[in-house]
Amino acid sequence: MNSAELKSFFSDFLEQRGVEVAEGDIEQYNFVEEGALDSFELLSMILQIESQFGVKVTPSELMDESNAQLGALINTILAK
Amino acid sequence: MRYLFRVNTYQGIGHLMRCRWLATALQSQGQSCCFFVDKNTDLDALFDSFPFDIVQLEADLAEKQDAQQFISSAQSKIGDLSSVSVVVDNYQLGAQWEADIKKSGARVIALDDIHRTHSADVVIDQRLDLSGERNYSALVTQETSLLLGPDYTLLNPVYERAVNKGSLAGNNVLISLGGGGDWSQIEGLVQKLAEQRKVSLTVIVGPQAKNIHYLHQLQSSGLIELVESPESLIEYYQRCDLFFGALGTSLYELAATLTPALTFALAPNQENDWRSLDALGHFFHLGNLKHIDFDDVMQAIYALLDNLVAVKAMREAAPVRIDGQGAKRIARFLNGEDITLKTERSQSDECLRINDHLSYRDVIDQDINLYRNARNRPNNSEKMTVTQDVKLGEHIKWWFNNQRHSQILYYQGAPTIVMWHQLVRFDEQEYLIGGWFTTDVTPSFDVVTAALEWQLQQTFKSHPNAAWIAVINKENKFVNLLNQYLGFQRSREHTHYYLATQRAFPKATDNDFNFVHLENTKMER
Repeated sequence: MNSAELKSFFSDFLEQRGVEVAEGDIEQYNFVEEGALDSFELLSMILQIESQFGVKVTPSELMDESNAQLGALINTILAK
Repeated sequence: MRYLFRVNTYQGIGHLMRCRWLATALQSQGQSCCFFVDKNTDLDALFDSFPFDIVQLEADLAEKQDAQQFISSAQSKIGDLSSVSVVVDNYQLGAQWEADIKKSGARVIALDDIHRTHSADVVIDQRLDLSGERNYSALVTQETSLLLGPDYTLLNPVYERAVNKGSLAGNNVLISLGGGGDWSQIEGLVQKLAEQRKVSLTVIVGPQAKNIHYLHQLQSSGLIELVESPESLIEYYQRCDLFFGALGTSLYELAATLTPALTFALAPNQENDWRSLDALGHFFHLGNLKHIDFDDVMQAIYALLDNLVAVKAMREAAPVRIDGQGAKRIARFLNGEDITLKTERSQSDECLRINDHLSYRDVIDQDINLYRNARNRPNNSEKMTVTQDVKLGEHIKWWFNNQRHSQILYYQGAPTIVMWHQLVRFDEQEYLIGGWFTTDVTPSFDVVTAALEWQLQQTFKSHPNAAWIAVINKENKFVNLLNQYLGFQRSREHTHYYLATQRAFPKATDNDFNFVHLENTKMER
């Protein structure tokens, strides 16, 4: 698992839900502030990260303001 | 100082009576008082026995004309009005009337309980408003003094010391609609109750009561005790076990005497937000009479009589007390004395910490309305096995007999999630069942997840041999996924989990609900 794989994962995840984010903007994308993902989607995201990368992200980590931008969340996941 | 009272006598006798108690307090401080009331032949007997001078005026005039009529009448009685105070208690007379009276030089004091605009010098509203919806600041001038809240409740001075003692048999129900009321509205219910040997009924009717012929028949048959226009209800409050009736002045009299009560609203000023009623220890209010199901009321009355010890304890624990000294307090204020309130009214929700944001406490009896209101919120009830609203009567009966262990979770200090669990046994196997619903605060998904994880950990710690079984509405995508996240698995048909779930939730079919379970060892998170 590396940063590029995670960026690709989030880009696909968002695209499948109708959210287009340019490749260069993915790290700055603030998924909490944008509000494009509801509770169901956020939980789906957690479960998919776990099944695809074998890493557990807790809901409180996901909703932590310091992880609100995908770049920061990617760093948190990589640090696990 | 002279105090002149302008009271509407067609809006319920409570207005005249509360002014009487203020006048009594003022008189005991050496002030003289006189009443200007609407002509009302129904109240002639009351006027005759009234302990203050009464001047009767034409009723139903427009504000301007009423002000002219009042000034002219008051001047002919006492002369110059520049050193008098005029107390007005009349929904038909508002800011315009008050401004006209002020022009005569008088000080104007307005009594209100329906949150109107005023130009009076002092506005008094005894209602407790925890909802914050009844802020007067935009409705009065900057110079207006506001005396707001139950510390200013105007009651007969006997309420300073009176406490409900109940009857020996523990089955006396006191019914009252206040000074007036149309008794045909509750005829079916009174007839039904009167025929029950389980309760003894005392019915109080006021001087403006309508359609009371059937009450005389019930009295003749020996089925009820009928009391007509008593001077005061105090002795009846003291010896009844449960009050049932309209929520007018009775709200404060019942709170002062700590009398168990079940009430309904007949008029807009009798509608109250449930949190404010709860704070006064008044937990059982049915809302507007028009929407009440009499069978449910019967259920409520029996359930309350069956649980009087708990019901009385709930009253006694009320954080806001009515001490019966409101009239004296207002009289002192009007005479320029300091009335700094000493009462501290904080209801501490003592919670135990779960994490930095979440805390919890066990549900207590005083949460009865919080619990029902949360359960009946559409976003909660529409996903349950029983989707209809739980009525108050059935809720009271259930509340005092249920086996659930319920807790309230606070998120950042606000009650946010109600959770419950219960241990059940089928075929010598222990199972945990439970549920959760949100209050009027909508928590984000990480809060819900943390709360549920905490509940699972706690319950498995207390019941290590039990397995959780649950049903989840198939349309509730989020909760299905959440339970999957928490480790719940689908229960296959014919397994003991499936059969236990059917027994625990007989109203849930597998067409509409997913049957799931979680063993203690499977809880990884």
